[in-house]
Amino acid sequence: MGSIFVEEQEQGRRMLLNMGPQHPSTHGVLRLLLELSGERITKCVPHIGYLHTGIEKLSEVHNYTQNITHYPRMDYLSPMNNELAYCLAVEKLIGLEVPARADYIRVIMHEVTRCMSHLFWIGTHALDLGAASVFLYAVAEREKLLDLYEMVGGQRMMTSYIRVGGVKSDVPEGFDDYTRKWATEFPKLVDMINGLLTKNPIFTERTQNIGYLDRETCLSYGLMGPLLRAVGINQDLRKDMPYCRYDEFDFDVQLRDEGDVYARYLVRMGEMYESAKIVLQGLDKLKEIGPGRVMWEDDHFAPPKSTEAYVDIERQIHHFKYWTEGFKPPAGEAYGCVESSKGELGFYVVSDGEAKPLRVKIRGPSFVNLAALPEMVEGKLLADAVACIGSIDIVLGEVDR
Amino acid sequence: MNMTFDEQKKLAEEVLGRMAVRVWVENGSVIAMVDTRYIIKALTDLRDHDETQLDVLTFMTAVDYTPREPRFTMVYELYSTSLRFRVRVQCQLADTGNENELPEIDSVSSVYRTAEWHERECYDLMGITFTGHPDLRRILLPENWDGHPLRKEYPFDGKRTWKPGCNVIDSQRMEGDLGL
Amino acid sequence: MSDPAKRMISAPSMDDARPYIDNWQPGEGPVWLSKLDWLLRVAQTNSIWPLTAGLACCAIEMMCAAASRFDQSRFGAEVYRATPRPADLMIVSGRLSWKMAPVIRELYEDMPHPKWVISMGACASCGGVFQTYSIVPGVDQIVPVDLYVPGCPPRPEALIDGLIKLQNKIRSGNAHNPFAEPAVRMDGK
Repeated sequence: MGSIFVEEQEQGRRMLLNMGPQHPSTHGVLRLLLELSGERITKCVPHIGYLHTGIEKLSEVHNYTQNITHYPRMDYLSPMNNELAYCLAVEKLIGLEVPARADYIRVIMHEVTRCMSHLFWIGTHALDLGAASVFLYAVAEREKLLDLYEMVGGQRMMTSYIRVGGVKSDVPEGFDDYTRKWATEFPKLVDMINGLLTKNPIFTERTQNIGYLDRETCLSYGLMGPLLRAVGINQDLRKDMPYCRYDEFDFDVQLRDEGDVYARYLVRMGEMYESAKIVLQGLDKLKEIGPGRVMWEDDHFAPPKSTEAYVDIERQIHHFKYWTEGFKPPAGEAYGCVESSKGELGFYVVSDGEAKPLRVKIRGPSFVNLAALPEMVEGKLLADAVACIGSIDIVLGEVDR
Repeated sequence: MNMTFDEQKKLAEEVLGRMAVRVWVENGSVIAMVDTRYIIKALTDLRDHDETQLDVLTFMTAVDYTPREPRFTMVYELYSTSLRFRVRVQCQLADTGNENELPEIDSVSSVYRTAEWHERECYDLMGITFTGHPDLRRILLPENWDGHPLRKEYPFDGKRTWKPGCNVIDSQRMEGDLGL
Repeated sequence: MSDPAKRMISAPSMDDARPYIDNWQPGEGPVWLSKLDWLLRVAQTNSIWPLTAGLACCAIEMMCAAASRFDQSRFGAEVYRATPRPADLMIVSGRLSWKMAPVIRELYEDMPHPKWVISMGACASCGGVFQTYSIVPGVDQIVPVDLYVPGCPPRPEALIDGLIKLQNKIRSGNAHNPFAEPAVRMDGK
């Protein structure tokens, strides 16, 4: 937004450029203070906190079920991933086992969320680099997924569908047909976007050999997810530490060697194909397992069915206590993590035996990944910084919480 | 995850040796409580030892256990991408009795680069200083914010309101009073 | 502080050099002036250029409203401008934190008149789900708002409905006085 000439040196004048919290790249309110020498960035300092909401503090004030409503608003491009990670943590704390049908529904929604996030990512990344039509195609496809969210959870984005112990309610009748149709047609759209971008000389010029990070730097910065897979490290939480019965699913981990922006692009495109495969497998497993319960049934930790509450005084008391105070997990701590579209999204929940958590720490992958941005960008051109920011795929809601 | 929890626990005990106060398994994680003075050495050993290779610091935070003494527990979650297991390292930190002094602990940013931002966040929200940190300043809140919100005594809706442009004394007004 | 109703109608005399058109009321003056004013308002209505002041989740729904399914450009609001100078409409979408508040105010000040503000979403209207220490309880503490679109996040259709209502408001001449002051001044007085 403004520029101040800082000092005049032999090589040239250094200019301080503020890529302010409001900028057209749609990644959110990130402020980058760049010191430029001509077009080269000599120093880059990210300033975050423009969206800091105090979600961790707010989690200490609400009970475990109410907290689920806060988290989809954190990483708002992949809402159900956050709910899933939190519910995994609380289920570990209590020691619940989720019924199989709920697990398969969770897997399907998890992969659908991953596709949603990657579609938005490719839309905005390509838009930043100049390919404006990809944005429209990607967002149009994303609308189909938002319709799916609405069918299942009742709301387009922030559904609070995944609950502690399972999912809120079973999937509606048209779910199987709709999702199957989507999953079979989705690879064609990814093919189209591939056709528009992958061999496109402008795109390859702008993304190859840009933003390279080597293996040691990546590990030291704690980067996980597509950034690590683009450097050649075989790391995918769905395979390494499977959750939600992922070991029953068959898919490949996308790996590349180059470690630049183009490699990350290829990794994420590959992940979209794999997600469609997993969704189809999930639908088959749902059909196989047949109708069943989707929520853990336990007198203390599960929400009671409202019809039963009117029959028995004990159940009525449980209903009252559950919805006013909330359930009380045993004291302890647990860490639940998922392979989110951006990396490892984890929730560290500490309980002291009360209805409200003592502490909830959210390990947001975008927060960790953004710390590596100065390393990627220093010494490179200003236009490359835009490509690098897009390749990290940050969501400021997760960075700032 | 190829090893069972007991094997992981034994491995952690072996590598940490006398630095570990207690190692136990809870809710699917191996947790090691180490002596606060040796935190840098403990993390370095866990990272470099051939049998653990815990090369990623997943996150680092502090938990405020008021009114228990010592007040804070620092939590470091480590993950090994090659051996695929996790260890959580904890150490306890007592609050200084003085309100104007913040408790101090060694910074582990020399061991893992990612700790730079995590420690800044800890300083910002919990008020814990890290000696040896290259650039310790607030990260999520404005630079002139008063207080450390994640501490238990700070109200969640912020009775100490900060308004842009006003000085710290004015910021002690109640939230409902907008100066009208 | 004066009564909000009064604030909206009378303009404080800040600038003596303003031409008499500012204090003109509909029904007064020559016919050609009212026709010209109507024409100007119709022109403003049908080509509102929004500013990308998207902050959080509501910004995603705002982008969906601009994309092909809901297609805001049917109503004239297609051209999103990144800088405040050519923009007419600031759609504040998402939760506003105290750290970001001076930036939003500066963006508002940088927009030339005539300008309007839509507060999109529950967080921008009143703080929403997040009544915490770092979130401003409503963006109208910082900038004067013409239209509130509730929802968390509001559907793109709701945003477009809000846009149509704003257009009606502008066309009928009832849009706010651009010189009205917000509740909290940035210099802390």
